[in-house]
Amino acid sequence: MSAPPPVVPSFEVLVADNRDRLYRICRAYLPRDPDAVQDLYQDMLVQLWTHLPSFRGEAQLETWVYRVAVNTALLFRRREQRRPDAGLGPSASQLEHLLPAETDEAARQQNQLLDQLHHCIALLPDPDRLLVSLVLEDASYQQIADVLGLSLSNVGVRLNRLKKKLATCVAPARAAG
Amino acid sequence: MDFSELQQRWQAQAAPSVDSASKTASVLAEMRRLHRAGRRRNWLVTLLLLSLGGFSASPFLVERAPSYVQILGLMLLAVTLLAFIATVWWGTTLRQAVQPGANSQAYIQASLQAFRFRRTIFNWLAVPYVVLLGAGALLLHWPRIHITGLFDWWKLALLMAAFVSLGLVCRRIGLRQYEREFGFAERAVEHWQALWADEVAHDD
Repeated sequence: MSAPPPVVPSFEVLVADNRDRLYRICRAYLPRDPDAVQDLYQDMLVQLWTHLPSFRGEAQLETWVYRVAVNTALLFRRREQRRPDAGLGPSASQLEHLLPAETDEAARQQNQLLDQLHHCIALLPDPDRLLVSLVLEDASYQQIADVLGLSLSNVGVRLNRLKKKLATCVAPARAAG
Repeated sequence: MDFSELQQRWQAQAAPSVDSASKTASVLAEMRRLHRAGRRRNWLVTLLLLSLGGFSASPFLVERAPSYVQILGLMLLAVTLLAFIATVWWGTTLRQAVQPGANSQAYIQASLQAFRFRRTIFNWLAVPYVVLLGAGALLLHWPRIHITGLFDWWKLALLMAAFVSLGLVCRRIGLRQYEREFGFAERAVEHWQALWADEVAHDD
């Protein structure tokens, strides 16, 4: 007896359920370039729209969305790096001084912790940023392992390390709040 | 530090809405331009194929008594050419199904359908068309092939294999040409389709 066909939502429903999540993943992955965030976000929507008909229900829909988002982000990064003007953005060490929202005092006061969180995420290397963005979205370890092609134990070890790192990094902002 | 607190703050961030209205006009203008270019091309292809068909068939039509096989070949050629022309125009009709101005999103949706149809023609029909044309030409020249002793099964198979190869080459050229002319527009339309869906979702 064959398995029942997967329940595939319409694209509109899929986007309505995931748009904020996708946008946050884009922001986490490309913290230095707001324009590129928009481009990546739109790329993700296009990819979801293109590939939704081929969703066969082999994974949960949520995991599938994460996978499309992550693959699009990695491809986007690779494409961006091939551009002649790639790599001209500020380095991680420069960002350490640039990113906290001191320039926008009102915004900083309103949500200092979130600003600091973005700052801390921006300091991480690319793969860790994706990992952190997924765990912040409440993806399970199993989902993250499936999406990033890592073992479950590897995900656990890396996330423990990253959570500690983030906790230390955001601690001053939390104390100030 | 409680990580769930970070998660809550993180998940409270919403994606901004995108105002695409101002950009819609330029996409529509590009669609109309491609639409006109597509129609011009269709007329050119139609005239070219009909002239070619007429020119190729005329010697056989004025012969006193073309054989049944030759008549069959002529019919096969004619049907294949007409089917090709009909398919090309059908693609344009798809795009005409929704006129610009009435509903821009529906028009672009129809344009996207037409783009995909055009790509499908090259993907799936280029080889059968070339093989059918080749078969028609073979039948048309059947007596000559028969008399000169060129005909036997393996040679026929070789010729058909050559037609298939030619069809594959035509498909490759067609797809490359399509990509050059319409590929960018197709991706742009997909992009806008996704954005509109995003806006609809956001409005909901």
